Amino acid sequence: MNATAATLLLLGAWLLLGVGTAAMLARRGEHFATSLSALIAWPVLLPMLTDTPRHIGPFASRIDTCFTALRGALADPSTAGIVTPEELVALEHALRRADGRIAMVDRLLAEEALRADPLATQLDRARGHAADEVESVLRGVVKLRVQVGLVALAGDTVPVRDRMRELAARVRAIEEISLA
Amino acid sequence: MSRPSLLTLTSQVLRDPHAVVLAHDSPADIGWLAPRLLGISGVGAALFGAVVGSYRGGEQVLYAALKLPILLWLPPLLALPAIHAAWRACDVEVSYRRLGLASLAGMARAGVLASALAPVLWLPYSVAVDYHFSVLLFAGTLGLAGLPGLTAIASAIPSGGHRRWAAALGSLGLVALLLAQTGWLLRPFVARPTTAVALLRPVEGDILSGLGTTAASSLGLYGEWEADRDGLLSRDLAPAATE
Repeated sequence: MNATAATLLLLGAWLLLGVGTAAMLARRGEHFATSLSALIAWPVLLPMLTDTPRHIGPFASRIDTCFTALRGALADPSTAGIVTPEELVALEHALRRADGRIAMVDRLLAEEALRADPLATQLDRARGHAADEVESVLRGVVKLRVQVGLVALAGDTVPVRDRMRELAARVRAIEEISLA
Repeated sequence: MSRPSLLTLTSQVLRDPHAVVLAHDSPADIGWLAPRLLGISGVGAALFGAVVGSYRGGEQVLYAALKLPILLWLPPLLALPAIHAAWRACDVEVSYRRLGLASLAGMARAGVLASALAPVLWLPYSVAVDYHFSVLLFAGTLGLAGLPGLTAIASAIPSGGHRRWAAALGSLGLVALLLAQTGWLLRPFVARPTTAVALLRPVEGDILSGLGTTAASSLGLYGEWEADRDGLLSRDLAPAATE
């Protein structure tokens, strides 16, 4: 085998691994552009395969907006270290899981046959309760951003830490209710 | 705060890539950011490649524009697991996702800078400089655009650990080596005026011997080494005006 063929073979192997990663990402419901970029940048996108699958629920875009905004605020050097990236990721994951469960219940309630079941009313009530909780935590995330802004000016990090603990506890409660 | 537009993202990557990494360090954001950063680096590198290929003209413009993004993308991506392992060995806990994002931001920064430097390269190419000088000019300009990209990756590394210099030196050396050898495998970019225009040239020697020969030739010291005339998708063109 000559060197040119070896170079092409190496590039082909890279692309092949990229195609595999892209296919798996697409199957998990990732955007087309994300899957396409895995053709080249699969080593960067590989961790996404072990992340929680992306649930597209009724709160998905609000979760995106809230957390992108919060991360933007926390990127300021004056707020460094108040909230760790791991805490933020854990909170976001828990909210996405809750959002995914609400989406699943929505699909169930949309089925004509299941809506006639007497348990459907109970399910609908539980869904409403879970949605209220997610809504409330998202409002808390917005308040957290305001408090992060106050930290930048006043420097008191205690309210942010308290709010973060409260949000983590509320999200844990949503999970426990769901698992009960 | 909504997600930035492509133009805003380009400007952010140029001014403060570390802030871009911090603001998008989540599983959902990496999926949103990766195609955009790849696109920015790809377009920038392709523009730079087209200028490099314009030295020889013809199909070489297209070939170089296609290969330059690959040259920019592959080395940091290939080195990513090794860089991650090197920093962990020095007790510096850095998340693989953050390192990957920083690599993409670094590549995007290098791509934007390369496209900004393209006119600087175009000027001497358009006044018919010597081939060997043009190769050195290309390597120098690429290095100039790549270094700020590497600093973007370095800024993602948190403080702490021990023997940080070893990990930093190892990471830098690895990326530099991979960049050099990937460039050597994907040549020609500038294309020698006496050879056919080709997508890929057979591999002879290595990057260090190649740059050494070119540096000596630019000073008028020609050895016995002769480049292969042909290669993959090669076609003879009229010699460039500089010859």
